[in-house]
Amino acid sequence: MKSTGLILRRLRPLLPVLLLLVVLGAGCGAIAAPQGWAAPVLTSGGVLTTLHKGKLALVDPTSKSTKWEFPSASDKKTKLQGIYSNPAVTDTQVVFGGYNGHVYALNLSDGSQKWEYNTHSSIVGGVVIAGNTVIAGNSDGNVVALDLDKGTPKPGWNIHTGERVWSTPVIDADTVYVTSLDRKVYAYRLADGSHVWTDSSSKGAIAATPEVVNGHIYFGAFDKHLYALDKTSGSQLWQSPPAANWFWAQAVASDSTVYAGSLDGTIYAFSAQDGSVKWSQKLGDSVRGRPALVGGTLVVADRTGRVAGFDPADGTQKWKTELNSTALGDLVLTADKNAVMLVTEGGKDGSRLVQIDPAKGDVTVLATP
Amino acid sequence: MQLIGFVWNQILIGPATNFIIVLDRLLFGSYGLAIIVFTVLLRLATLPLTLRQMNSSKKMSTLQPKLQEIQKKYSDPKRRSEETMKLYKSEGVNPAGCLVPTLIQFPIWIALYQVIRITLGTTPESLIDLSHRLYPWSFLQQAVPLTSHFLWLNLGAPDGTLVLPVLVFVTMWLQQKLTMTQTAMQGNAQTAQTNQMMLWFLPLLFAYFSYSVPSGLALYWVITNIAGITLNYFVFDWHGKHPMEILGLRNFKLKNLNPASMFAPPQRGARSGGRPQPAGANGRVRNGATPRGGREVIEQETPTPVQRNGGTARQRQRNGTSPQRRGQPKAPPVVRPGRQVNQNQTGRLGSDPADGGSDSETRADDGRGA
Repeated sequence: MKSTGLILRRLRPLLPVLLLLVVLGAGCGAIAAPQGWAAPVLTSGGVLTTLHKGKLALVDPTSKSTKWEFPSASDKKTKLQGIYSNPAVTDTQVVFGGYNGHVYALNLSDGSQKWEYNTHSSIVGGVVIAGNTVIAGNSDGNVVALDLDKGTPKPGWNIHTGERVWSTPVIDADTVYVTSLDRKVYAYRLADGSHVWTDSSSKGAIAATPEVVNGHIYFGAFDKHLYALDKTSGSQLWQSPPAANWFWAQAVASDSTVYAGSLDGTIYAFSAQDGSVKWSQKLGDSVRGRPALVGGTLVVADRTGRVAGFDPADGTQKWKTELNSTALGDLVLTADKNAVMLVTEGGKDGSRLVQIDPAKGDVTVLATP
Repeated sequence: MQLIGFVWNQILIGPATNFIIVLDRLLFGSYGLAIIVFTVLLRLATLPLTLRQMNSSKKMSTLQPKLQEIQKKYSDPKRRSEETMKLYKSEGVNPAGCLVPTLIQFPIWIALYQVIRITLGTTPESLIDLSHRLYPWSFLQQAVPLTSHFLWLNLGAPDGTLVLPVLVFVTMWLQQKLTMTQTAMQGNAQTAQTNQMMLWFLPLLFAYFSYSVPSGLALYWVITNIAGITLNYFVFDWHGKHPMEILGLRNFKLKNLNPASMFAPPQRGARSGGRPQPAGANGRVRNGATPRGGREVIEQETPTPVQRNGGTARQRQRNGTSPQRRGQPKAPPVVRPGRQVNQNQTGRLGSDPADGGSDSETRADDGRGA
């Protein structure tokens, strides 16, 4: 007892320091670490998804088993920190970017690594594959083009935007379209990365992946407007009325309407002709993931896991369901294109890959960690 | 808890986030400048509190002669402690007063850390978070994303060059040193030990934090420390000391440097530039113990020797105890021209309240010379 008292007395001067550590630790912990929100991707061997933070897995929805996971449990060196990047797949390969700034190419069959390339800044947007070229943007504002087989940079490509590229580059015909937080949209030739045009219409940063449909490019921005550009010239066609918060999610366009979710928790339907608002419906929290048009229903999910089906014509709500966990990433069509898939994380029901019936909103769990 | 969260977010984080973005826009989109101006304004806002603490410290320094009297008068540690606390109470002084502003600033540091992380939007989640915190003014909305580069720094990432961590350490150490000069080293043993530990641990701790948190926060720490040092100059004139003296470098010699003594409790009467003492040599030696030097002391207050040669040049000048060999005559006290020799409340010559313990030093020298 005597020695305990002595130890306590000697430790007393350290109490303020310990208090400082506790308070700073508590305060610093309040800031969310990078979590990742990669959307599920259908492949011939199953569904690629991220049920564990910083790990990409190939799961079989039928048997609900995990075929492989990257990095594997035995790999202690690879730390992805989080996966925001939607993977791109070929018949034999999967390519994606980690928040650690590396682009990885894996064998689809067993998840073994083929190559990796360090872009030296975190990757948030998805990667895209065109022929033998992999294209990805990073947080330094660079857009890299890599050889699909070797992972080496393609000669001639030297693209640098003024800010973070947090969207997925989109390839349409022979052109690559890139949006950047520097408030600009860029078009480059796929063949050599040469510059075609730059649009500076937006007054806000752009984190949304552009939607290229019918010769138009649609994207939302942090200035709360949705924009339409001519894909050939980059000239602005229209600008929507402002939403109540930023647009981050990629829009979904049909022939006459463009649907876009906003961080104000509302789904907006804009006229593809002039950008006027056709209808809008408040869902709840931020809508960051891309909605999906399936079976005559527009399915939208907010960050808190609230999912709803709307009539695309007039915005009438058909159903609404709660996933009881955070909804990550975009809504993705299933293989038969009759339903949508979504990855969830945390909350009461935890991480899951779920399938949602667009007609009634019924939820089926496809995989769990 | 919800109420605390609401108050924290709506009263502190929200306005601070928007205010710093307004500053960023007004300062040509330089987030680094915005942090600097924000810090200075914050220091100005908390100035009354800081001045109150400084005045409390000043008052504490005037108590030193009385404290020394208590130290001399009572040999029983318990009684000495009681009398010291009585004195503090009667004079309305809080001995841990110098720590209070630091403690009060903790929430501000944490809030600023959050504000920097939120405003820079280094992770996608934090940028989404920012979208919900920004006031709906296009002036603010269009400022996002903020430019994170300032000088050589990426304000959203730790400074890999180590320049900022070193600056945080140096400025914080100096600020602590200035704050403690007037009181800490002469307080009771417990307070003195705490302050001595804080003098080194806090700067080390914050230097370590600076190495691992966004450099924007480290920049805040550097600026707020510099502001504190500047304030100390205007309020205390750095206690009338030469900067090198405050740093303990007036008589600095590399060969005298003993890193082990950095965390040792301060010695009563020890002064900057003095030879470091082994930890635990607190001047009180019990019967049978053999202190360094080999002499046995029987249950008496033994002031810790500062230097075998009688302390620093300035101490020797004050005490008239210039280095001397046995048998050599003592040199007369030397008073530096242009420097006032204090006569404190007890009427002793040369015991500057800020110095303290010169009596002890003299006794130590005498003890050795005997």
